[in-house]
Amino acid sequence: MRKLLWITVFQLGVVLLGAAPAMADETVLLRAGWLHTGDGAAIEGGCVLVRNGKIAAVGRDLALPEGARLIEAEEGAITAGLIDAASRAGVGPGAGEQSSEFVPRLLVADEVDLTSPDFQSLMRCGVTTVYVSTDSSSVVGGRGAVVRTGSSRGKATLVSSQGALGATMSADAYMRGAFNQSPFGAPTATARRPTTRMGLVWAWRKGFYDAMALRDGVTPPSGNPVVRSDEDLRVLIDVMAGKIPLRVMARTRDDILRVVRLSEELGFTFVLEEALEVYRCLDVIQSKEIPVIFGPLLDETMGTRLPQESDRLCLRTPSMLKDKGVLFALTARELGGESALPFQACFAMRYGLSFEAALAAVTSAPARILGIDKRVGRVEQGMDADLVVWSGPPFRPTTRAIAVLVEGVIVHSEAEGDGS
Amino acid sequence: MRPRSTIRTERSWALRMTVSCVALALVCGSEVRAQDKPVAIRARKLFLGTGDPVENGLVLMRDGKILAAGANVSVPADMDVLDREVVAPGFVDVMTRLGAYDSVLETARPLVPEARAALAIDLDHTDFRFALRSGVTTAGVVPWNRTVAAGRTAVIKTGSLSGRARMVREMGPHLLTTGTPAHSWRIGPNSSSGLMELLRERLASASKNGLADADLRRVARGEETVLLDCEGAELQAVLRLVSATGLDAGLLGVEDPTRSLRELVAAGRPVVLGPFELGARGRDLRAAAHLSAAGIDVAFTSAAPARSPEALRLSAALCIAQGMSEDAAFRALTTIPARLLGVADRVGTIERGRDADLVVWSGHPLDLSSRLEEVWIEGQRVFLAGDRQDASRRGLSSSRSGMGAREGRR
Repeated sequence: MRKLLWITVFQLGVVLLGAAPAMADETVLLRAGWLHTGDGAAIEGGCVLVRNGKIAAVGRDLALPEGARLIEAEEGAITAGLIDAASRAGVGPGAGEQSSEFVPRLLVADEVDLTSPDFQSLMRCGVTTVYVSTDSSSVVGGRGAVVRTGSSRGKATLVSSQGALGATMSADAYMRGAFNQSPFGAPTATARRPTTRMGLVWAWRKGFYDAMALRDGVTPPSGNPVVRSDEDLRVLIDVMAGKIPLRVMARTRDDILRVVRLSEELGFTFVLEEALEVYRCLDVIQSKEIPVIFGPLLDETMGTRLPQESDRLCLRTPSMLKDKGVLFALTARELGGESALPFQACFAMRYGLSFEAALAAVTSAPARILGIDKRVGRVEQGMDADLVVWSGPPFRPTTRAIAVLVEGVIVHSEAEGDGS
Repeated sequence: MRPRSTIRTERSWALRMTVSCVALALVCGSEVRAQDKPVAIRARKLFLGTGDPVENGLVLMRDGKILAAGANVSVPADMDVLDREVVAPGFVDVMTRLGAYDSVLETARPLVPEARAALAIDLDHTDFRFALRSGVTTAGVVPWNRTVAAGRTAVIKTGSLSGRARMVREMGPHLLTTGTPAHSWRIGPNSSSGLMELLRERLASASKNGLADADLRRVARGEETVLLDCEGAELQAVLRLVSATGLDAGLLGVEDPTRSLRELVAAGRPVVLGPFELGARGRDLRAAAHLSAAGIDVAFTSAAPARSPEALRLSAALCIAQGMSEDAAFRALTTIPARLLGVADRVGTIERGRDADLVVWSGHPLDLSSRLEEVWIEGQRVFLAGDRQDASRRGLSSSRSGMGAREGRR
């Protein structure tokens, strides 16, 4: 029956009542052909009742309360709002701080333009929460920001400026002038290190060992050229104590294994970002239980996205991660439009990932990685009402988001005149 | 390079001569020579700067201060009273580089809070005379925004009897910058997040009595007003920094305030807008109306000498045309910038005890067809418009009874 519905040519049976901007305390009932809760359950004719910004009830045949707004998509579907755990929305290119390679106290939130159209376009394709990653040109580049893409005022809102700490284990951190966007030959305040992969690993070790020394009451050797102050080291102490999550951007198998080795040596846990060649070291990832934020995936036989550190992108990677039981999320990073997050799920499905796993990889898995899975990522009573109503089966090229709710507020709806 | 019009450069000599003549004429006139003698001006419309204008108001001044002002001020019967059309407080321009355009830029280090614009100002510079002629009697001379903490603003009176500008406050507000103008590949930081992190760090250390940051201690504790330049920075991030650090900041360089109106109102900090020119976007002009209607203090600036100081009055007029109340626009040129510069106890209003800084206009000061006729600074007439000056010079040659007496009879 479900299959049957999916292969129909989708004629929209969409009824949208009322076009006025919704208030946060408004009661909304969503009803669609299918409701994908994110727990593996697909409820036919499922309904979601939204009240006071929360999901008040989930089930089949919920009655429309008096005065409530109804959003109905007979041939469509309802899912939780999508989450991109490694986005670059709202930050311009070349925003990386270059005066030091070690800037753990930097806040990406200071760079994020919450009024950027990036968030509008993300929201319109169903993405309701993003973690904005640090620029990859630093060795340790600061704390990411968690942002909700919409609100009753139509603008993105900052959820947290104290997100995971971002670090880099790739050529981005030393290939000056190319990947890290600093101008060629630009005179910099310090002789900015590192300039090789060896130096990159040295900078990692130097930072963490100095942090350990400070933690253990030993004064770190003076004149540390890497770290500017003890406050920087305290961030790393919190990382080693597990108080601040660590993100590491690495692409090639060698770099990934390098981070794994360092994590054993220095005693930290981390989440792997981008990870294009993760399929070449899946056993290690599996045994260490390292969460992976994979992507972006381009549907081409070779990964041609810059920088071309690796041309060995395997499009089946998401399904391989799933088979190994690794916790993984998909990211579109800075890509939008036809490569945006719903299409990342689409590409993953094209190369073998099941729908349920693809849905998890853009909703509940990134929520778990970001530590916000108690509030978002699934359609369940009591969770925040971040929801998407799709015109048809989610992640199909012929499907679009026809209504998006963030904390119970209808932030995008086709009744208001766009796209329909 | 200093962006100035060629016309202005050509004119400057002629102007210098004119101004010198005015000064000379004034020195010769009897009404301004006797400083201890009170001077009274009756205005058909007197703007006190504290509310609605007063009809037939009188200002009495002595020793550079205002003794009394208002509708019910009486003077001895034998005292000479100058009759004028409109009298208003001199304007206060919060952000200029008058007399110091290319000498207030220090980029030795990312923070140079110990720098002082006051030490770099040429008080004889013609810039001040242009400002004076536009009704600006007090100006903040702000260091360039090329470093995180660029130093202290100087507060200057634009004229005196000798024609020379006068220092009012050497230790004016610090200028802090978090946006693109302060990005530096040479001294770092090169990003806004880097600037903000550095600023947070130094403010934290300053408030904890860090010796290195003694210059910023009172700023860090929120005890001293600063000017915070937001140009090219994410406004909401700047506002978060302001509320987290408790900075008492006036915001400069706010781009497109309408985009973050709610956040600006929630922050409650004064906002400096302008200069606006003819052809400015209605959206930008309306921001002044929205902000002031929401209770936010708005000040206008001309950014002279990069722009004409006339832009100050023009900005106010354009914003009034887009819905700003006349009262708010007037305050934006007087009391609010005076407060930002820390001289609100001296300038901005015509009240007892304040400096006698007045401008005589032919009509409403914010009506662009009104002409500036006279400028008085600290009780002395330092500028007289050309045609009136000619008249008084003719008067001087035919009679020695003095300008004041003659005008009192008129």
